[in-house]
Amino acid sequence: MDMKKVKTYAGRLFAAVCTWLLFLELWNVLHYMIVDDTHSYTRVMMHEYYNQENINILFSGASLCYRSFDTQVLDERLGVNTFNVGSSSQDLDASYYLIKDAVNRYDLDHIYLELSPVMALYMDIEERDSGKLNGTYIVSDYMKPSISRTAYLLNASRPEYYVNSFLPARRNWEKLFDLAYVGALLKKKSSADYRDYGYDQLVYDTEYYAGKGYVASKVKTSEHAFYGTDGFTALKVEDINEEWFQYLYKIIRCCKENEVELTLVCAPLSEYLLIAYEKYDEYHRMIERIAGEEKVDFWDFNLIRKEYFSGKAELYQDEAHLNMYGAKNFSELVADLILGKVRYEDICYESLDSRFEAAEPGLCGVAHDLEDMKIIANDGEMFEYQIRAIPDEGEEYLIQEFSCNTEFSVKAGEYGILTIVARRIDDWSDFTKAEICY
Amino acid sequence: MEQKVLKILEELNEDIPAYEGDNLFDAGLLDSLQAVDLVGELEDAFDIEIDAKDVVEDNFKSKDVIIALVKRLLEDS
Amino acid sequence: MSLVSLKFIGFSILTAMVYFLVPKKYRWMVLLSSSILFYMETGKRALFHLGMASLFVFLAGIYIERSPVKTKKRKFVLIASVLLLAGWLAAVKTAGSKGWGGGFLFVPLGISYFSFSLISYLADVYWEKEEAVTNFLKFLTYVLFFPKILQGPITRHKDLAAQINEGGNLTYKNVCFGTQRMIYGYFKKMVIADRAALFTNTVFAQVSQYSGSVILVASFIGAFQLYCDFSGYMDIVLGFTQILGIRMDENFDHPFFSRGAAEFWRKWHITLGSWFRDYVYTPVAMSHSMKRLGRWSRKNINKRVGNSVIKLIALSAVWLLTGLWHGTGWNYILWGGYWGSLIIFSTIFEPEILKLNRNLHVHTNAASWHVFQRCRTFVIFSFGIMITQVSSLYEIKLVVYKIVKSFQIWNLFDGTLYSLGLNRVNFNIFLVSLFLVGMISLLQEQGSLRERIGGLNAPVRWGIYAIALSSVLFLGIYGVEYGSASFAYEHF
Repeated sequence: MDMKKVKTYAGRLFAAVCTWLLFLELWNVLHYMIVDDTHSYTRVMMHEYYNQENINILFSGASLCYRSFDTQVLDERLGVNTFNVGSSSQDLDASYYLIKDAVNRYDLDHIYLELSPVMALYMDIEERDSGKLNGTYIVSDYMKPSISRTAYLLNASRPEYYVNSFLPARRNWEKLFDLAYVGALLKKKSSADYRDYGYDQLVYDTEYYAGKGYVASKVKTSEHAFYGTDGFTALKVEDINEEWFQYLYKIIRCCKENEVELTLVCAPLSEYLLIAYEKYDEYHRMIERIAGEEKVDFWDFNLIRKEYFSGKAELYQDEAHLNMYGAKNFSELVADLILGKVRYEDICYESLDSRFEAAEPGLCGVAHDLEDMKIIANDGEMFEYQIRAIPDEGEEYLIQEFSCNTEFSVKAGEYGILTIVARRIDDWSDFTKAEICY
Repeated sequence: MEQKVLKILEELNEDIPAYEGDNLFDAGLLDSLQAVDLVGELEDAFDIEIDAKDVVEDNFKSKDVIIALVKRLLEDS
Repeated sequence: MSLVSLKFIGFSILTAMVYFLVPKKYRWMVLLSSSILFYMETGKRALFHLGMASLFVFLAGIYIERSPVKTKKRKFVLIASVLLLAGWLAAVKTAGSKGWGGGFLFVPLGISYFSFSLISYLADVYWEKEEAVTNFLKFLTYVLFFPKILQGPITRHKDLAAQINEGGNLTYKNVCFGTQRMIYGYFKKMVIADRAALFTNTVFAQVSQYSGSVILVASFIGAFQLYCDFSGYMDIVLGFTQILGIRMDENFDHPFFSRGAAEFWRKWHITLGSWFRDYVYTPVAMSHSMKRLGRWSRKNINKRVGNSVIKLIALSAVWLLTGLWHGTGWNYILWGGYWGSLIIFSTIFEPEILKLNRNLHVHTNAASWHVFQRCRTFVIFSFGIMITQVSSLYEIKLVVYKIVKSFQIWNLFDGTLYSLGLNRVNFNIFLVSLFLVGMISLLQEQGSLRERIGGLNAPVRWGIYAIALSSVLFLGIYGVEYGSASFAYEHF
């Protein structure tokens, strides 16, 4: 072949590559100037993830993962390197690509995949808009460029979001022209803590990043005082989209092909939430069936006996998530299970119904939908409820005198404190009082 | 005959006879509106019929082709 | 398929790759199949109508060529075909604007463009300017050619068909220059035109709410918007055909540098203007009856009136039809009359205008006068825009009243302009990018800018390309937040 021609083509190829690299670098600069990730957990988590010597045990999932598995406790008890790649609103497609990377990058022994019903019902790729894509982007933005990551992003949204997905600076492009904002951001990013992936910016009053993916929360819920939005419609397993199952099977297959053990896990939800869901058992059985067919273990901590995990309100920061105290207990239990000190079959109930039969009847909390409210309780029909409201602005007033009615409302747009007294119908001396902020 | 054509062109725009280039239209010395005037003048002066299909840029873009057009039509008639 | 979509980018890359992988003489087939796919996106029905029209014209062309010259039959077939095509266009446009669509009054996209293309083909065959096509598939390729089907340029069969049939050559220069031109087109459309639309849509939706100054600003912005939208589209399609090694006619030549109405229309939507010149103006002005009228007037009144009468009638025909081509509403007829009167006036009374300028001691060669002329042309054009944007005679009166009596010039300085769809940041981006396009246009008047860039140092060149592409992606008004914007001249 003519040397001159080869030189020309080589030169042109070189030019094209350089132009492309300049283009990418330009966007990196824009990213640096516009995207404020100084308070991002996943930025630090992913950096730590890529820089481990080896990971023996990996935990993946959404908020119920990264707030529940205390990697420090687990490391101590197990004597191996555990890592928590959970992230906020992490859907199974993100989990899949993270796991896919992990099995190739590290010599993993075991993967624990947290499968919360919240996320199962939430996953809907077609419907992902800018808001919902946040869960995707907090992971994809920090994944190393690869064909896998490209495939992930191409499948993660409709085409009109592709530019946002691959070029993050575009998402809030107008900020480039807010000089005060850019100045402040550059200052924050030039700090040693940011450059070294330190934790200074990841400490808040209520929670903090504890390392290797685990976030510890200090918030405690008072007894009987859960306050959430679930409770008006029962959980419907039929509403789970096909793609959730698709990615679950992909994960299972990926682990099998790479000879890594997989265990499906459900972190313990509060009693409040389990009652509010009404049909949690269906969800449990569905996963149990899949686990059985695919020959993977399934640990549903919602069925754990009280002696092994009390499930008291003070272990929760809200109706779904454990706080650091709950996470510590939970992680210790998980460690015991892994070490074989206890067996799952020995410490769990057969079904949720069995658990609730054994549980004390009691008030759990209140579900709300704008101004409509509903009392959530275990064996709630055994109680009568007196409900009073102390609004922030205004006089205290009685909503209802003792009655079995569990549904009520407050004035629209009102804030304050509800005082609920739940009294056993058959024994008026047995009552509990709860104060709930609304 | 050529002198007559050049005179008509000069009356239209004094710069045209002096133009040695390829295309009077591109040079801005002639446009389609003036072409109408030109056609009328040429028809009157030489008693010829210039058909619409002959009124194309190629036949009017320089004084030489205009002269050639008139010559052809005189020969045909 | 919208040109501003990843789908189109993928489609065009794929088409270009297949085009050059195939041997040169079969390349027209690649164009035929991709054009069919492209047009099918708008609906199989549209494809069917277009196919039928093409077949009809194809057969008519062969018939006209085979008939002996100067026979009545030959002329009859031409006239009948042209009337049918024009009639179809008129019926469809009227029905479309009144919302009657459906049945045979269904509006195939691009009808305003391909019907003119078909008419010009038949006329050229009739006038023996070119030979009739004997291969229907090749003819269909020309008609359906997707870069021009939706918004023009309105091409002449001879030159473009020859290029399509021969097949284009793959050259590095064409690919580079073509890509640069496409990026420039996307910049004009996505960064400038679609941004401007956020403003003009707000104002022209509710003209009664805004002061004269705001409406005037909206008209000026609308003028730039239309230019960037339409010429941007042209840059995209002409850039793409350049990559294929095919050259189509230009539609714009920096129209805002024009110093008069007539010059403006030689630089704005050039192919439409030249179509009207060749197929309406010249045939009308050169028709026997016109020439007889002219001769009679020249003899019996005077030479000037004689010539002017022809021009008056021919130009009136052109501008009435030009107005109707743009839209069948009364406001487009008014718009056609507006431009028509301006051009007729400035043409017929040219001697008087020159005399006036001399008497007023206007230095017609001074740069300042040229600047004034350009601004004047731009204002005239913007006013024309305004006419087409309002929806009733009442609104026109209202707008004029507002500009004269309720101008409220302070609206230009008190921040009002930043609250009409474009905040301060976006408004400024609009102005800066418009200025950039203006500078580029000035440079282009002095010679090919792409050649110049080609002469710069490699790293500088690469930097320019990276920045150009990035600015489209970064500043463009696209994506879910803004919805997809269609092109202005698309519903034609």
